[in-house]
Amino acid sequence: MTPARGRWRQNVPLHFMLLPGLILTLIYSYGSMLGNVIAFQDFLPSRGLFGSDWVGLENFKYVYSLPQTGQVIRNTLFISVMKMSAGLIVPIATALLLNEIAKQWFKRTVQTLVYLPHFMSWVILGGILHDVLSPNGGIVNEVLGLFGIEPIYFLGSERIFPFVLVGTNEWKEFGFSTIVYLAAITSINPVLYESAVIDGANRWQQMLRITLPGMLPIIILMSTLSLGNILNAGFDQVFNLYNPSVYTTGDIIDTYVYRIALINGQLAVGTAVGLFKSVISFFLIAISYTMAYRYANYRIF
Amino acid sequence: MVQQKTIGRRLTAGSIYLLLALLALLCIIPLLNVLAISFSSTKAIDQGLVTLWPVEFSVRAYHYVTGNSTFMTSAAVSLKRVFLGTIINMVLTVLVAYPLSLESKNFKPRTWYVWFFVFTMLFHGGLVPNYVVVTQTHLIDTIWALIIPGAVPIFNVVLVLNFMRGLPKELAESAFIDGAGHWKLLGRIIVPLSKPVLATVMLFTVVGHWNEWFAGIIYMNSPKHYPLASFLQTVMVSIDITKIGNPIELAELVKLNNRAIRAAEIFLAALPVLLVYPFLQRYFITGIVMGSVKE
Amino acid sequence: MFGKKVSKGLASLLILAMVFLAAACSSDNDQATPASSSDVSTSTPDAAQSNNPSQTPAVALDGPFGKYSPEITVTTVRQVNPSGGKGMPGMDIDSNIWTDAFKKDLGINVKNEWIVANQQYTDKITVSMVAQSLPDFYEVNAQQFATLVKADQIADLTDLYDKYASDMLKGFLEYSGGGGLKSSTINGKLMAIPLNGGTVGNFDVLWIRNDWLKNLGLEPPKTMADVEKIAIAFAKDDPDGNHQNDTIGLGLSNELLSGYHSLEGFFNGYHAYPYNPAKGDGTTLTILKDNQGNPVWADTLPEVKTALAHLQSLYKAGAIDPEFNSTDGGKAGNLTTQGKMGMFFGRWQMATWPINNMKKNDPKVDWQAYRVPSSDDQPVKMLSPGGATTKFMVINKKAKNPEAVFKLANYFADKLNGPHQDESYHQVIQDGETHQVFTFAPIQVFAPNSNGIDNADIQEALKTGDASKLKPSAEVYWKGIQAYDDGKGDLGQWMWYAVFGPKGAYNLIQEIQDSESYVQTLYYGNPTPTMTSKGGALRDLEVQTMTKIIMGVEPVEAWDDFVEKWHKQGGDQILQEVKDSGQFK
Repeated sequence: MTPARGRWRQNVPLHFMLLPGLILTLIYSYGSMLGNVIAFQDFLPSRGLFGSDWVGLENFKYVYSLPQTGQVIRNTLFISVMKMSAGLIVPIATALLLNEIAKQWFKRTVQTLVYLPHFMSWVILGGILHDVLSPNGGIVNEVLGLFGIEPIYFLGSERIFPFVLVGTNEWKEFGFSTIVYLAAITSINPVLYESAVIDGANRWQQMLRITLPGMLPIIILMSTLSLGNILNAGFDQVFNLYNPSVYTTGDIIDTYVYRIALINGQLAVGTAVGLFKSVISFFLIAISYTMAYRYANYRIF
Repeated sequence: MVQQKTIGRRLTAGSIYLLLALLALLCIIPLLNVLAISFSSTKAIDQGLVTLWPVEFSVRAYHYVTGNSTFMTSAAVSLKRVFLGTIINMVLTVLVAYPLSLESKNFKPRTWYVWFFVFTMLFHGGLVPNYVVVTQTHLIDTIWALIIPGAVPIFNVVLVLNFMRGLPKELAESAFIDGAGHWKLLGRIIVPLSKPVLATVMLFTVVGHWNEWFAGIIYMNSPKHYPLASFLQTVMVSIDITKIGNPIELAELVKLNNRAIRAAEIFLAALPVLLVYPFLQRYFITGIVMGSVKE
Repeated sequence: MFGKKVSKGLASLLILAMVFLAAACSSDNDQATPASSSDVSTSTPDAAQSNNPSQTPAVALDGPFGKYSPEITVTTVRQVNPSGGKGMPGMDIDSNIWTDAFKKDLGINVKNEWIVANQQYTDKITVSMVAQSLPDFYEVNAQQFATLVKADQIADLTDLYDKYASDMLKGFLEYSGGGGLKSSTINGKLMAIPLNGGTVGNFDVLWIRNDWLKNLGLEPPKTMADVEKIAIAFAKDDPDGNHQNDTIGLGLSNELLSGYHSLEGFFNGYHAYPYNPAKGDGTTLTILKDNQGNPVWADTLPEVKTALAHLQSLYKAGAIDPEFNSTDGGKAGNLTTQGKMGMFFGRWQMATWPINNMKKNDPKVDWQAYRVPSSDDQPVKMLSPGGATTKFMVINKKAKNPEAVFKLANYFADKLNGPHQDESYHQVIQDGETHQVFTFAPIQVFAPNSNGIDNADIQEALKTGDASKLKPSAEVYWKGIQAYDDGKGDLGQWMWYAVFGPKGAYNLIQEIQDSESYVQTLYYGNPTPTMTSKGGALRDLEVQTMTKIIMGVEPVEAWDDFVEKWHKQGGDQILQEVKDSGQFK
């Protein structure tokens, strides 16, 4: 045991470092979690969090019995998985492309510009997209028309709507993830590139052999974290873009619960669904964590 | 790096530039539309004439917005929130990420702690229990209600701890040999080397605090205390006109439903963050020389 | 013998005294004695008592306007529109002409515990309920009202109403059968003061652009068949003359039955009365009676199917916007102002939005409201949807002075309508901006049918030229109409002309009301349990089915499937609950 090892045993400072975060999380996150009891009550708000009658799994059974529940869960999963895939491919590709750029001013400008859509709320974007995607005069269809393609009713067609969700969401958010991946790329040791060049590797091979593997931990991390989000699928976006004729493919769990329960003040049902989603996400993350650790010896967190 | 300037090489470079340029253009166009609306006349907007350039140029909307005292006071609240919130978030993020970035063999409770924190990313109480906790801890109607409950952003912590883990172990070991403790190691070596990820996370924090609106409305007891994003949200969301029967009230309400003013407010609200962004940008782009460790 | 002079003097005195007495007895608010208007505190029936120094002040100076001494404090919460323009200088919602008056005349200090933006009011009330921090009195919606009653958290107001509501207030609330009071009465006990409801009047009218009719040489419609012809013409025959195929026939939004670019009027023309806005909460159902006196849901009656068939063929003929199913209300408004629509069904309020500025922007635009015609020889009845109370003022069971709330309401009614009427409490124009001062008051109960009264007064004034009898609100409309000067003056005032002018939309409303050609729900209770729990899902089903039928994706027979599903998936339960509620006429 080297003297350095002995130092590690002085872990008291570490506990102190964690203490403020621990206390705040205990109070505001765990304290708040207790409120999930609402899901098991015939909840009357004015009786407080714990004053209503206990009804066990009634609220869960109620949601289960609704005819659209299965459909809505399927929609959510489909849209989420598509979003997660796009959410990996587009930012990684963009980060890799940006990494190839030599002219700094171009790199910075593009990076700033692609982050801009993130700042616009879906309330505003909803209005803009309705115009842009209109089959009757919308820009996108005009451009498609130049290629001889018939106008597509993006926001009114059940088949296409989920893809519109994925595409527009990616457009809005890819700048965010690109930053994370760029940060990951910059922390790759330049020495690795230098020795690769000496060994005669071209840019493409460098990207495959060094850059991508160097980004892998962050890629796995971002994937896992987004896995925990898999039952969310983006309420704000769907709410501002959907309409009744695309409910069958575009209605997600959160928008459904909003229309069925929350708009009527049925908080217990909303909480029950939230709890259900959390449990599923928890299992997914736990499984990913275990698999990454067992098979890649990589601890996601 | 030696570059062979063949035609193929030039073509590839050119197409990359083109692709990225198109992408960037695609991203900026809607913002240009909003900007154009903010500088156009109401008549032109109503008639649908405004696309990417102002029609019947007018700065009336901006005069109105900057003269509106509520807009200004809520901007001030947002500044305060971003300032305090970012400092607290960053400090807590670093303090929590560092111990969790250590190896389990060196810090046994690590995994237990990490699951303690990650669990809160998955399970939430929701609006109602959050409000009860904030009420019980007497934070209602103070700026702290907007900062304390989310003070430990777990997503950021996980990002930072991963980054810290990637730093060479030799750094820590040589520091310990030199007699430094965890605090010194963290402050003198780890944090400075983590600049890219910390800059990234700080940007997310700043943007998050600037754009968050729901907590602002629900925890504050008066619109005078709303941050800017909350104020903007009340402007954006249209009020249900069908419920109002008083013609004069309706007429007044409709007058306020002015798209140019809303566009100006959107743009002014996004502006500060757009200005902050370039300053933090250089940390992602330039690399860091890691060869400072002596073998 | 003092001479004729003295007896004349005596006689005059007598006469004067009698006049005063007569005035005292005939004042329309007989709870208020004709004391000077600034001295409300003595205007109680127990005036003698209140002047009696031996009366202990703290024991309520009783009655609807009794002043508290020493001053008491009552708490409430408010909602505002934070972006609602510059406020009135010197006044805000915490301190204004009303709060001062309450202190001075009633001895009540009204304190706002919190103020929130309109859109989050419901949420803030809900979380305050859970955090158990509610004020003395506050406004809630129907669903929250039901939970408060169930949880026994609000005060029984039955006796307080009898004792403390002024006659004027009682008059307002009991008008036309007192629907609001009925909705607020649970198990025979009055549990809230209703702030709306019990009114009739949200009928659809048919808005058409006369300039488009003229361009195509068409006459205003006399039957529903005419309406459909016009719709097709507007879509196909280039009514705006710009040689482009860019116009819509019948304007429609995907909210289907919302009162704006909606279908209610169309259905009414075919004697059908469906109502269930796509963005609503699904609990405002129109319940009618069948031949056996049992409750039946209007949307399931056969006439709905007939109308749907016509809508389907209209869509097929291209007379309905092919994108209507992704066009929400806001977008439909934009399409209107962009000149793409020339005809739609909707409320009279559409004159204030979205078409209010169209004439100013383009003088040849000429919108006018028409009565919805009939599809056959039966006279049309219009649906008056959702007349149920949706805003309830409840009083906390723990409130120390629950009767104070009634006094505040009485005062408000009096200041706006009674002998102490004072316009500075209602509306004030300063620096070219109109400030709605009355919105500062914590409880607002309005004279019923004020729009109807104003309209009648204005029509009268238009005939006689005498505008002196107009109430302040009607004066605003009158001034606007004068300024508009039949299209020769200020075109920005068009909307007042469109609503209250000689051919105004409100005249149509009045006609419908006077001839009682309307249909209203016969259930005046609050949403039943199944309405609340299944209402959302059933609403979705209805909206989706209706949309699909109109677009031709499904045949008209699909409506029968919907009706069957509705009954099975909760409808039968709803009808049973309505029947058992005791609140079904």
